[in-house]
Amino acid sequence: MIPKKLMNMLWSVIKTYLLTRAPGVWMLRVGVGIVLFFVFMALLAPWISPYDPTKRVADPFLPPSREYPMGTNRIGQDVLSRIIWGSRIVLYVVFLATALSMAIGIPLGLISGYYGGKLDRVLSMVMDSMYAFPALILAIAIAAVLGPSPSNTAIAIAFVYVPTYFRMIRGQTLSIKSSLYVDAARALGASDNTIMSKYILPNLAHTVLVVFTLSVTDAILTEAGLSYLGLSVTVPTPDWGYDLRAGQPFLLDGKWWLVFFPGLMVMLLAMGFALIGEALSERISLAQTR
Amino acid sequence: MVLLEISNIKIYYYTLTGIVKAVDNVSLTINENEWISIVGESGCGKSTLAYGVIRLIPPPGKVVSGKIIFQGKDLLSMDREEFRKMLGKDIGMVFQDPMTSLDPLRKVGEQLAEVFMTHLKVDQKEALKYAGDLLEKVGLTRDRVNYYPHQLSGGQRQRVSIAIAMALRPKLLIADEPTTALDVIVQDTIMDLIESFKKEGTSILFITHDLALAAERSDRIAVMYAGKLVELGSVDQIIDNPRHPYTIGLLQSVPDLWGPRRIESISGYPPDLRTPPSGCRFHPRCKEKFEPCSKEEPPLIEIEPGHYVSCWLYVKGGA
Repeated sequence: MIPKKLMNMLWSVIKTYLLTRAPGVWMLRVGVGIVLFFVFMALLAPWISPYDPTKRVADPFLPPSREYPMGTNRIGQDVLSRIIWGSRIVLYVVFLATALSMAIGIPLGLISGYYGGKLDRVLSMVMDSMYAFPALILAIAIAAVLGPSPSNTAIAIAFVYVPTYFRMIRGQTLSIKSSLYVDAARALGASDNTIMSKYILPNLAHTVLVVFTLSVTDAILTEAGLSYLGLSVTVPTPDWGYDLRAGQPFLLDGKWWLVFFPGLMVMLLAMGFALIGEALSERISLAQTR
Repeated sequence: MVLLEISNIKIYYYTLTGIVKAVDNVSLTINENEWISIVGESGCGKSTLAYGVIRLIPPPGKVVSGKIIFQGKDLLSMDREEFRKMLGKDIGMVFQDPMTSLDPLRKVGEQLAEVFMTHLKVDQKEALKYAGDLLEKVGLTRDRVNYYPHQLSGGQRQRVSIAIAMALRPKLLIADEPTTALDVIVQDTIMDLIESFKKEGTSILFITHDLALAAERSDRIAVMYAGKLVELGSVDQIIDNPRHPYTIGLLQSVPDLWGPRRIESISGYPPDLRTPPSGCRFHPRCKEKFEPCSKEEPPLIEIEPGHYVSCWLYVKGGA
């Protein structure tokens, strides 16, 4: 029953958003394509990666060739294998981070916007003060306190994006709560919990979707930044940001492949999500003004 | 028997630019199985009064004083949770705009089922069955449970709203201009529907700006002006024998096939309720004003059995 309902929902989403001739749909298609490419890369890593990413497999600093399509690094590890396995870390951190920040930001925003009053003022103040810090600096501080590990990086990034969700959800809740159908729900005797979960939350879905894709983009860059600074993974683990830093000292010696490929991957993945977010927010704002 | 007794209620909005006295000292009783219409122009406080009864005055509004007694219980001092359980079960409400009073994201049936699930604690399957029965009762087909609000016309949506309000056969139905957004033909069918519930014993508190509509089916009419109740009486008393200059003006502004060719209008505009005129709130626009009108508020007096008017013209011996 439920899987069938879910499949139907998924299909209707695909139908309305991907299989249309709406202007700007190419952005969505390209974005979804890029993201799916990386998701499959991460899922199939054990099968498609040519070598063990943590083992020395050849001489160091080999330029790209048929055998090593992206060359080898300072230790003689295969760069392509490291990139394939690295996608797992990035996606894990980024999705855990956004899931955490949603799990905290959405309920708090909903409660704050719905009940208002003192609670709302206090929460808004706390969130605004978190917002005042530059995102990366705040993430660095938290990651430094928690210690380097992918899960801790996720927590640090989640912390940074909680206020984003909180603000958007709170604002939308404020506007939906004053709509007539919420009054009508009250007039039929619905409790506060029913109103929040059945009447307001579903109407927030499109906001969540847009904020999600936009904050994921940011989170990818933040994750790369943190691991570039050595605050994400410990040494043999393959990770794009870490590999970027490891390759950077040799850039001036002409060993461009050490930096070029990890950098390209970070950029591509971020671009994929950015395209989805851009296309969706355009579609949704169109739908709302129509 | 008295069902609802509103006494001396004051509802003010505390805005940044001043206190808006939207409803000021209004008293009104509704008997069992009675249709009473509140008539007045926009901003006279009639909707605020209705929202006051169901305790849904939006902030910064507040009920300042007064009592609302429903079946012997004071609604205003009642515990929030206890009152919530009465809403929908003992008092139903239909809103003005059927386009926005239903949740756009949920099927009509689910929204109907909500009432049964809230008050009768039945599961969704059973509630949906009741919802189908109810749709038939209000003149829609059963399969409409699977429709989204945007798939229905305005009249159909208002039927759904009425079905939701009347689902548990409340003793009192409050209808806040339920036909304003509809065309006259649909308006008439909606009024028939409401009347059918009255025949089954429900009392109706009907809010409208349309005097003709009120006259058609009400038992009694209450006329409000600038937050005050100015005249109250049976339909015959109000329509055939209006006493308050405002009611007279209102009736003269309705075109009449056999009446004078020129339609009279009431000059001026309704007052700003942050700074209402002294004395009688209607005096700046009144053709018959005299000395006491601007000085003191006229009392509500009974000039014939059941016919109340608040005007100095009818106070014996003047002020």
